[in-house]
Amino acid sequence: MDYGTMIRILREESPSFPEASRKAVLRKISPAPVLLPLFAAAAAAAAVLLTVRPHGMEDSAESISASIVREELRTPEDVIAGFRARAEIMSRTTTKEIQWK
Amino acid sequence: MNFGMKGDRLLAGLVRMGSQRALSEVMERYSDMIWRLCLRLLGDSALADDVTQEVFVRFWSRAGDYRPEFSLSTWLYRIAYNMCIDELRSLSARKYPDLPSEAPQSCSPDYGLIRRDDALLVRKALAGLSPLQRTVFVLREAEGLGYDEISRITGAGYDSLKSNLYIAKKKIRKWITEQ
Repeated sequence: MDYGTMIRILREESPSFPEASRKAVLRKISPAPVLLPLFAAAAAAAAVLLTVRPHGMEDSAESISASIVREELRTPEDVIAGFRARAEIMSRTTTKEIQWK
Repeated sequence: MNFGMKGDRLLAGLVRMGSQRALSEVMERYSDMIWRLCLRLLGDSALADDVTQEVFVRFWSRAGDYRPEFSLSTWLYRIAYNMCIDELRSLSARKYPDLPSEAPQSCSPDYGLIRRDDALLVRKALAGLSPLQRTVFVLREAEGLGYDEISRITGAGYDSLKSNLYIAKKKIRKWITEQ
């Protein structure tokens, strides 16, 4: 083996973290803490904001995060916070941003 | 690998507020690269598996410590690097544990394309390096990271990283010629 081959092997070697180990992590972590109200409202605002995005961002971390936020926040208070945030954001949204929708 | 600082902050925030789904997403994106670093630093797939799990458990329990000026990948690399160093110290020797006779069991299909003998040779070559040399060599040569990011991960300065990489390459070339 020469140096170049070794580097190639290092780059091409792609072992994966086992799925069973990922599940083990989820078993190890403690139950979810109570949502922080302020952060929940901020996250709801972020979720609304992220619904205003151009095409092509559907697979981004932002859009996935937004979908997680929507799934996690289900209480009436969160919904109200979301509406308030949406109203505030829409009042500040430029015409160009609105065209994204 | 970087999915955007805004996405990183959101994911970290969601983990902080207790979303297991967000942690799953973080693992989906970053666990393979963390596992590769642990495997190459520790030289043992079972140990690397344990440490990688602990990296994400620690991230979960201390998500509030996440500093948004870091990308999530850099932050996780930092945790992994520090945990691997602690693990190596606890093994009371800054060298690999006994090398297994086989390549890691948990491999993607692509791994089969690489001869297992070659993969073992690579791991033996890495065994002759110090932890910092091993880290900078792997992150720079295999993962393609820049010195700035490696510096954030290891806490070592630019000059130190450059000299450690130089020494690592020299040692590996020497090791190869002796085979």
